[in-house]
Amino acid sequence: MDILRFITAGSVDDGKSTLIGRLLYDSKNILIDQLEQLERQSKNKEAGGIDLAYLTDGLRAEREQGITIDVAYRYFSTPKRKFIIADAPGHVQYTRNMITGASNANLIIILIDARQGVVEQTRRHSIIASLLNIPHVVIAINKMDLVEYSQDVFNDIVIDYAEVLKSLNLHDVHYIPVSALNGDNIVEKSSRT
Amino acid sequence: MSEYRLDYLEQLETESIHIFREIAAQFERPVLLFSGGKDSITLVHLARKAFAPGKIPFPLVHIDTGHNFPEALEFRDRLVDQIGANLIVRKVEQTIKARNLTEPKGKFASRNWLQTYTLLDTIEELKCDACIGGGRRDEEKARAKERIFSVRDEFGQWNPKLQRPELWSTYNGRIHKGENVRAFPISNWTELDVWNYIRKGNIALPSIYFAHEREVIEHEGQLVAVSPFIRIDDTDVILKKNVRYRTVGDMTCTAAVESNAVTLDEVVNEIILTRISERGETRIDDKVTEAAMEDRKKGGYF
Ligand SMILES: Nc1nc2c(ncn2[C@@H]2O[C@H](COP(=O)(O)OP(=O)(O)OP(=O)(O)O)[C@@H](O)[C@H]2O)c(=O)[nH]1
Ligand SMILES: [Mg+2]
Repeated sequence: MDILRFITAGSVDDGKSTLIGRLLYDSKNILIDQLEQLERQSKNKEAGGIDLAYLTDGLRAEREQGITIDVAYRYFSTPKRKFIIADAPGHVQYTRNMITGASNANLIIILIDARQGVVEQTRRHSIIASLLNIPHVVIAINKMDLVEYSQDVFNDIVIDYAEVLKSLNLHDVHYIPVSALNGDNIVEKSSRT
Repeated sequence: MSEYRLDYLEQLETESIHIFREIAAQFERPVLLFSGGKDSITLVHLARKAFAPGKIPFPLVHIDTGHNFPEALEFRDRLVDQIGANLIVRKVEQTIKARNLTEPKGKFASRNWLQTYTLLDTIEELKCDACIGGGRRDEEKARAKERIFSVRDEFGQWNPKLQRPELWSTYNGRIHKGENVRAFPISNWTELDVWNYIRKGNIALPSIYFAHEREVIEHEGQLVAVSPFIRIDDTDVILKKNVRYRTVGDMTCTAAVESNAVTLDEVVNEIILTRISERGETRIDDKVTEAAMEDRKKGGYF
């Protein structure tokens, strides 16, 4: 057994915290009492009554403002691996916190909102990943549910991002269409993509 | 030739040992906060490895609420004796007198929150610039946010919105006068990692971590040991149960788990199967507000 450290990145509200919440929820890595607490705290009542981002947005200010301020760490294991997850903030003001989490990552998941496409923070976090030599990259094109799971939208973003990659030192890049909110392609392969 | 690879427990151990050596190198007067629980016992074990064959180059400090399990105190004294460590005990009782604080009241009157005062007084008295703690990020969602070297201001307060960058394994211990650092060498360990490590190293623990018969009362679904520190009401039914402890804190705020696990293997198997978190199952004091730990840390708690 070894350890995989990964981090989520991308712009504000692209769904980083929701993705980690979904990953832990669908892989049944949330304990009963944590789930109960989550249900009590949830305001949005999305995803069948719980706000998945609250799993990592552990500070009062984060829950009040609905954004991530500092990296949160979560842990889970499969029989083969221990995973250390870092959930980074997307806001430019908290870039130092994102770098803190990214510095120890072997893999980075950069989220892109399917409606917005590649934005400034996508580029900034990609440059940071490149500077830090993070060996593995996943580009998760999120909120596919809001673009009717359109193949064209996905393809266009892949083409745009390939431009970003040209000037960077990133290899082993994979593209996945997802909906963190609905759980498409997070733990189970989706029939909609 | 085979590749040189560390398995996951060895990787965690290496990280922790590195942190210990950084603390020793960067601070003038560090102390190790020792509670007698499995996390601080693991810390002591790691500290010994970090500095062997020398002795641990800093004292162990126990902030003693006076509400301990007797088994934990016996264990503490035996361990300190065995490894020749320097133990400093500071009592919450003393702080209550010196600062004229009111003793908490109620059925499970807990001095847990008052420990902060004793801790801050002790830091001042010993002029410590670093306190090493056994906090783990998997324990609680505010802890999940804290740096490994966490800077506290002159009032011991944590400001979660203003944490410093902490890149790679480069830990920045530079502080201003009056500030101190709380350092957490096992931040990245989970409860199960700690248990697996204890099993692998066959590390001794206080007997209450293993199943034993005990008189308890049931309170809101939790089993609380009968002791002089809690109030037994007429409506309480005293039961005899086979229990073990998953954490060792104060007798007033730590609940027991029903169990027949008497060996490390059996305990580890139960931990693997449990669907309730360590704090959720064992802490009686954490449910007061959703942000209980964050608030305590902001006030100077461990
Ligand atoms: N429709 C839809 N909404 C989503 C999806 N993923 C996230 N959201 C919503 O987008 C909003 C922001 O999600 P977060 O997970 O908090 O975003 P974040 O990237 O963590 O934001 P910061 O940490 O502040 O940078 C929330 O209201 C989510 O419910 C998705 O796949 N589909
Ligand atoms: Mg977030």
